[in-house]
Amino acid sequence: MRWPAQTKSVFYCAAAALFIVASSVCAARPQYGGVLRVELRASSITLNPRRWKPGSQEYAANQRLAGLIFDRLVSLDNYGRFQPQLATDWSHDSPAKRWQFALRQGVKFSDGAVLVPGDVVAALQPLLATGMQISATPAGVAIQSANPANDLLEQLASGSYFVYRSDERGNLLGTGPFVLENAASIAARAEKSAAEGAGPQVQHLRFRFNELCWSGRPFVDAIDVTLGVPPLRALLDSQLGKADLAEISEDTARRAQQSNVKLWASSPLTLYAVKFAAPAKSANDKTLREALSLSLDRNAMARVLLQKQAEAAPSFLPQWLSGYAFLFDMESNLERAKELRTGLAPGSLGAALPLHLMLDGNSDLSKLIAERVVVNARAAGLTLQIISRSATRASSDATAAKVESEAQLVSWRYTSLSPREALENLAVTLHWEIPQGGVPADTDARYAWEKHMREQKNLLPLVLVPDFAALDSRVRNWSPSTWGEWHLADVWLDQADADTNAHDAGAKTPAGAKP
Amino acid sequence: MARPATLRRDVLSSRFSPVSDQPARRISTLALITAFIISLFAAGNQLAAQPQTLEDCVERLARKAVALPHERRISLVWTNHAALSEQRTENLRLIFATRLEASQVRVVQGEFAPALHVSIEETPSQIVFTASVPAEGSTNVVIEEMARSLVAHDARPSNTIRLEKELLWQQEARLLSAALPTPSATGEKKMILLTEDALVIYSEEQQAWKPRDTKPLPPGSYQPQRSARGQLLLADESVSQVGILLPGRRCETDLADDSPVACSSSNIEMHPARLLAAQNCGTHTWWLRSDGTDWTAEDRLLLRNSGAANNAVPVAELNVPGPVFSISAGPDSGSAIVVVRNVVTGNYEVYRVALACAN
Repeated sequence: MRWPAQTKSVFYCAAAALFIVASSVCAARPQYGGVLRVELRASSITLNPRRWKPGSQEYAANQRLAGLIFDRLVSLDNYGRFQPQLATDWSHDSPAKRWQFALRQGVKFSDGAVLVPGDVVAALQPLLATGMQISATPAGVAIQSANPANDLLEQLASGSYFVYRSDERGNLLGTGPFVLENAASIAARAEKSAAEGAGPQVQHLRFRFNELCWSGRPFVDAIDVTLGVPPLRALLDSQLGKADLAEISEDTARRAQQSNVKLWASSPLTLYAVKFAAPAKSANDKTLREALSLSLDRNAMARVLLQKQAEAAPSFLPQWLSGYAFLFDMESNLERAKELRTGLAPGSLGAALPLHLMLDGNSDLSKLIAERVVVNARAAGLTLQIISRSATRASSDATAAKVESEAQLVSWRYTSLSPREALENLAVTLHWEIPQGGVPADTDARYAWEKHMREQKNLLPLVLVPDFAALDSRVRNWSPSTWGEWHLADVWLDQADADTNAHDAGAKTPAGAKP
Repeated sequence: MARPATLRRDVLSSRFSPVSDQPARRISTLALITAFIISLFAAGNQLAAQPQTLEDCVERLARKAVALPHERRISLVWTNHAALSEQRTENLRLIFATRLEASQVRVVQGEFAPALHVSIEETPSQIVFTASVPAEGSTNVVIEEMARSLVAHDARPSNTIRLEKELLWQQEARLLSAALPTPSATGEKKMILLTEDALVIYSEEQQAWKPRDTKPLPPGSYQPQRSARGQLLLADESVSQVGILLPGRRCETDLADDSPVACSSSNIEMHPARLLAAQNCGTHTWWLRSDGTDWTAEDRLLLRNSGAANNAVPVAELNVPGPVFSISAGPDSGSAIVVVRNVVTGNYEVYRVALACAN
């Protein structure tokens, strides 16, 4: 039978439409396979959580990569609910001093060994705060705290509280979705390419999927991580399709916004602040700090200098973490700062003698912020001079010691979901006097303590800066937490998009990607 | 035996149960002491334990807030930045206000009284309630928090917030700002326009704006044409008081009399933004800002939650036919007056932009 031409064309149209619908449905389904190419700014990483330095910028990279191979007892979702990970159940006594965790049964490390309570005890005991004791129980582990630990779940769901085990050769093994492939051979390859003059040396790490993972196989086959990539190059790589996920900085984020790159920004995770080396000893010291603090225009730093890619910091903890930061006064009053300046003793620091503001490291952002601090201070008649640590190292030791005794522009990265622990980490690192029993757990008391410490003016908070990343369009199911966890095991790669891109531009062909 | 009706009526509002008809039992002193100790222990535990419901949390906050040093009359400013529905938030506000009233603190509205600010914030794991009262040189604060995971999920009602605009006025001459004061007690509607050199007052007659008065700006208020800007401010407590912000100057006048515009030097910054709230949109507040294009392109008005970051996704948008010169007070808290230069006609246009909510 022959169909009329009109009927045929209707049929073809319907078939084509069906094909398009089917294709689009397929495209929305998660796909397994492919290699996710990640570029990070950190030049090296340490996977051992015991070695992580709280507040450091390296902490973030360490934590992100450790999250690929290790698991925690619990995690926190974006709706404020704690989700079971290696612990399936938990409970605590009335004063929240004793917590019991039931461990998931049948969980295996990547070498096939079964996870036992002793592994959790061995991993977590060195990481827990003084006054906390973890022990094995028949069903799992118990944590006994000297003080009420209402924020224990927040602590365990963040920071360095990963569960891991060392094998005979000292390699760290985890139960997470990925396994670090032989780092030695990768490093050798990098060295070889460097010796051949293939450009500056970068370190590559490759994480392949862990087929024994209790939570299931991740979508991608592997994650290829390149360390030590400067933000501008990371953005270019992202634009050229050479990276699927590239960590960038706040200034490159502005460029990314102007291009078609998909941009991700976290909650503000890094605090920039002026740190005084010692508590104010004299009335003159206090006046100087008060005047400097009042001269600072934090809003202009955030809005103008950092082009709205940052937030002004009125307190030590950000609003997203404490919930009460907005209650702190931003205290910018140039006229009052000028008045105070006139009260400084002649010949004192900040008046006749410049107050040395040391830059720690070679961060462009630190330098930019430090320069603005100097400009603000100058408007109030205060004299500040920026000195980089590398310059002081080159000079005599005596000069370095003198300079270090004044002020420093520091950055501090928040790594805990417990505001109490985050504040305590900061206080411990800065050698502040902490009340007996630690930073108060009670919110009223913690707010009062933070306010008290803020008034001491040993640390002048300036701005809070988020993390930024550029994403390739083929990265799907990108669902990071606002506090900076990337959840890369949930990410899948749109292979169809990759194929299209490969046809469109040769440069878009993912290096090392499996078909 | 039934009690007399009068007795039953008398105990209706009592916190205690009506007198029992049964003969009283003898209770030993020891039992009484034991019960007292147990109740004290239970009360202590209750204080130490985390609140289990939002209502409990707000009750605790109110108990603490009563102790804050402030007058026995306060105006309650309630802000919700958490993912709680409007209805839930309103219930919490009522609980809080009731608890204050029970403690002899009068909650007044629209009257001059110290403000007690209550804010509901959200952290990754907690709902944080703060109550703050300005004190001399600082702020007194009390805080309560509870786990987010304990909050029963009541999805936000599908309130669709829109922005609606109404053209009020247009002219060729440059306009810096415009405002629409709340109508006076006689119902008279006024519109105030700020030009480069004067304040021009119009009143509505037969649905048309008629010029009523002109108050020239004092000498020294002249601004270069390219960068001329200004902002009208209206006093909440007086419909006739008008403030004018000019670069480096702050001016004042009273529309009710012939007083000239008086200016003094000032460093107050002009903020082309307006905080909006409308009763039919719940207890939320929003910032209305312009997208901020240059002077050659059409602009957009963006509405964002008052606690949201400046780059947060707006909850509503409205296109306007040119760059926004100023955003000033409207006749009510749910509207603003926006001055736009139409890029097609070159005219300066005054719009009333209002919140519109529908469930």
